[in-house]
Amino acid sequence: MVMAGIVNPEELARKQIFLVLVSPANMRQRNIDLIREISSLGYHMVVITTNFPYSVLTRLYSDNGIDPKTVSFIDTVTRNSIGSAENIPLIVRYVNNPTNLTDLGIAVTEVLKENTGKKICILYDSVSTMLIYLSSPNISKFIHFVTNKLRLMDISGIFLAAEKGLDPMFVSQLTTFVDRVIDSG
Amino acid sequence: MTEPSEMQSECIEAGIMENALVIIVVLDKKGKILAWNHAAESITGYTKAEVIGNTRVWKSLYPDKDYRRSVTAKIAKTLATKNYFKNLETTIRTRSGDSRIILWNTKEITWDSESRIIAVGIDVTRQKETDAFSRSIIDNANVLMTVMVHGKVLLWNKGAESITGYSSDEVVGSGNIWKLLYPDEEYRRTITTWINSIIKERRLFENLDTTITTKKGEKRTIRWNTREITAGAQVRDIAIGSDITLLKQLDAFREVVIENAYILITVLDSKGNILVWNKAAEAITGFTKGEVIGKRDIWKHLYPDTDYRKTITRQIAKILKEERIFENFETTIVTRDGSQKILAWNTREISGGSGTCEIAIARDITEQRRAEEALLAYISEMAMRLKQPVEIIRDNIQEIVDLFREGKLTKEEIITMLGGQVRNATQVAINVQEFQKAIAEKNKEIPEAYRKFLEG
Repeated sequence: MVMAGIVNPEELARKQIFLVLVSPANMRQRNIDLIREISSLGYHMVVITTNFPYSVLTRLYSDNGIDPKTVSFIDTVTRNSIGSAENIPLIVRYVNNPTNLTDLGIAVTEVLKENTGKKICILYDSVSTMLIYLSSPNISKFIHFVTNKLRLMDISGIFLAAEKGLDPMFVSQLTTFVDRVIDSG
Repeated sequence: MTEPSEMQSECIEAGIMENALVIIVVLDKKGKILAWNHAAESITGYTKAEVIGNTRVWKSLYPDKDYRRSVTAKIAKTLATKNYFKNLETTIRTRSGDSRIILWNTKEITWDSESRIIAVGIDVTRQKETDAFSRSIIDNANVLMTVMVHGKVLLWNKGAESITGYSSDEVVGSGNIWKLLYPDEEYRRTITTWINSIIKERRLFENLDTTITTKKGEKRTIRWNTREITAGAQVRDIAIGSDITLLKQLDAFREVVIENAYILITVLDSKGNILVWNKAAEAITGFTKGEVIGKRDIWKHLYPDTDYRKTITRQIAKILKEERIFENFETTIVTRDGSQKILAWNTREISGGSGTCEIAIARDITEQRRAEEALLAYISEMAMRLKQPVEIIRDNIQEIVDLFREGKLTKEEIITMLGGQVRNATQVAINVQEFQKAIAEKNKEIPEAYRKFLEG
């Protein structure tokens, strides 16, 4: 089922950045809903995944009627699990470890470069999983870095986070980096 | 002016005799009363008519036979050598049964060509009572009291005996006591110089503290006050010394407690001037006693932000108006080096001889607050980095189970995803350990119990 309008297309067109709070049980489904919704608006999606391997997500997207060609991945899971995986240009770039923010930053830059000229939207899935590997101040710094980069490159972005369990101070910090906070349930 | 006639002289004498305020009695050689004035009637209660012409009144005035004999013997002894006596003190019994002390003086006169004795008796009962009362006060006063003339002791009360251990017999009549009380020559010289310089300026000294050595060799602190008194033609010095040894010990004890307390203690007078500023106050604020005592501008230094100062002044005024004291009132001060400290204030009003003062005690709770903040940060970060990741791992595994059931995962993908969750769980365990260690190391002032808990 397609969720109608999690993100406002006009705001997306203005290259805004969103923090989407999701119920933990719905995290995978919201990921799929957002990709389908935004892809249908003509955006090329760049998914930074910290939970599911690229291969699984591709299949899930296909099963949900999403054209895999409209999505590129930065996969922080696979190489971390199986030790080695080769990058596939325009499709997937692997980062050894989700804590390696430098490599993550480089991967983002390169994927964006590969897709120059396209309407890009980045989906970061998820801030909550990052908490396993990074302290909240370091995550804040990283998100600040990413949002700055997106604004400089005039690209819209979405950060997914579990709606419960985040420290209000941390949420308050995150809200200062984004344009809108959406509680999608 | 012409000489008065014989008759006029007799009238004058009779007038003087009758109106005198002392007993005047004229007796013949055998003790028979020839004249008994109005004062004699008034003091003894016996009238002229009862006493003139006989000797019976003496038995009434001295009803105790033994006492009467002793008085008679004393009179006879005196008159045997001279024909008068001076200041003979006897106690008479009046008609109403009261006792009165009479000071007698006699003179032999010739009256009607006969040798007569005129006796003048002064009623000194009141004076004697007053003297006895004064003596009793002096003796029973709990202070050292001495009267001196040119350093020679005339009076040494029981208080002086009790404090110094030297009896009145040992002291009265000489000036040696001071050498005994101040055996150290140099100390004696110092205080003598000191006393002389004070006396030179003011002729008296007040609250002069010296340390005496008692007969037993104990040291006692005496607070001296002197006055110069004129008794007749003689100038005497009265010195009163209070034994303040215990008071001094208490003062010293109080000072040690105040100075060595780990809390800021300050005392303010009714105008807000600082009277006491202990070592902890200096250590906490960085401002020394010299900069603070006697002034009231320290608060401007401790609260340099005008708005904040006004706010807390308002709050303090409100609390004091309602409760007169405040307890655990927290303020943030700026110390001399510019750092901020959180203090919890408690005040009490203290009343003393010099009016009402305010004692303010403050604990530096900066580190306590930091430890609380650290603990709070620990709890919230733990909640976020333990509870949520565990939920994520649980949900991810559930997803794997669901996708596996739906047949959407290959064997390799299942291994990859489960391996990811194992690493996530491992990381959570590492996080907990590292986080505990970091908190314990970073916050040196956190309570030991927390530290042990955090260090695992």
